[in-house]
Amino acid sequence: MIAFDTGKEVMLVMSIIFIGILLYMMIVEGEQRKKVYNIRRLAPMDAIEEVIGRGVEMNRPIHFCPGTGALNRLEATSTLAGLTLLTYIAGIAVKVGCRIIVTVSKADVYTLALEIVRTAFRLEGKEEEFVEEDIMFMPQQKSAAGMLQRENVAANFLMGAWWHESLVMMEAGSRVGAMNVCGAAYTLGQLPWFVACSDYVLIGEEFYAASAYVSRDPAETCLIAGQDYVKFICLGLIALGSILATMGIPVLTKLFGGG
Amino acid sequence: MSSYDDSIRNISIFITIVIGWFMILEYFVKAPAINSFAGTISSISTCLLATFTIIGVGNLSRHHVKNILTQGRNWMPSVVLIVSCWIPLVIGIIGTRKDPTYAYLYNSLYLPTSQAFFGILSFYILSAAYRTFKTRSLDSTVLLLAAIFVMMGNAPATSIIWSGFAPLGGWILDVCTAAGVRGISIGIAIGSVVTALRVLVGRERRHLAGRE
Repeated sequence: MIAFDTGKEVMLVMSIIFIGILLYMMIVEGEQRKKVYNIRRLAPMDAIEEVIGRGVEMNRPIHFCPGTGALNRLEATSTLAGLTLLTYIAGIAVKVGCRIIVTVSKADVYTLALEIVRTAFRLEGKEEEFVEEDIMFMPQQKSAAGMLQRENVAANFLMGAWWHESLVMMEAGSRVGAMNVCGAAYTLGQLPWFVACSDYVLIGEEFYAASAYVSRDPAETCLIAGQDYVKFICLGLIALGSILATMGIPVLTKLFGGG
Repeated sequence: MSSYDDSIRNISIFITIVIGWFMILEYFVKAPAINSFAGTISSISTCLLATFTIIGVGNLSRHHVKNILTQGRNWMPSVVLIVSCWIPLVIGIIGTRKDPTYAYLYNSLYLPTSQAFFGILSFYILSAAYRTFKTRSLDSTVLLLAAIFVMMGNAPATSIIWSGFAPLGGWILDVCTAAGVRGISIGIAIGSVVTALRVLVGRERRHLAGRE
């Protein structure tokens, strides 16, 4: 016997509305009408090529880490966004001949990172130059700090879900004069350190929008626009709820399970 | 890329789509069979993820054994790593986590060294804070002032100097910081939904080393 789980009606309706908007934007606006929305400038994404180029000029490797989040937890989307950026960064690094070192603390993410970098070499026809040992499994991510100093990296890309080890990694990068380019979304508590220690940082939704920014694919840019529409609905509901609650009519507050 | 790789990738994407949508729907229904099947899938995925550790440890060991055999750069720390990785692993597999030798190694070696490493953070926080609070621009000046008021507000003795530190620090945290953090949180939540949706409709395949 299948029954609807009562108490989740509002969540279901809102999920259907939000997913509907996003799917409409992606399929109709993006894939059928090929509409390309303009995404505001993201300085860290513009700087990636320059930062990798610096590594080539200085004959020093670059380091990438897709965070310390796993794929079976809440932070999975941050880790996926980090891996998507690894595809982009590894592609550029292999193309310009810059050695890329990837450190990963979760075994499931390790296998994906390994395959992403191997594919980047394969696509450039340089498969024989791929060194599997450059994709390192480090269960304690903060222990990569020593490696950053030994390898004297020129750039330190930290893109994913982070906890306390973010500061250790960024400071280790700063000490060898590496440019820290970071992206973080899931753990808000780490954001101040990213802002403080990074040369370039992608905060919150910028991090998720980064892949659309580099690809300029119509469906991806339309999804970002859809994301903004969903955000406007949320902001509208917050404003309306605040006004109604102030007037002593807490309808929306009760509907969404608050107060 | 070979068609074999593409086939594997397509199978992965198909499994992700089917399981992903099933797990979302399961959240909204009450049916013992469906709920229990979802629990089984969750357990299977946890077991599968655990098996990847073997690949990770294999890579780590190969890298360091190679370094030891060729007496490459920093080969001595590689010896330490191999010994400290494999001895507890073998003892743990044979005698389980309850084995006294394993417990000794964990409590007397791993925990203290890990905590010592954690302690380094305080020095890093100090140097990061110094860089952040250097007044170079209007932004960093505002940040510095906010930090001073919040810190002074949380230090008990400062109320002797001025009683307004605590309320002002509290106001900065409860109003300014909370507003900013909530704005970022909403953006992150919607961004996460979009990323998940891209995966669930099979549109995102770059994390599987695929191309659009």
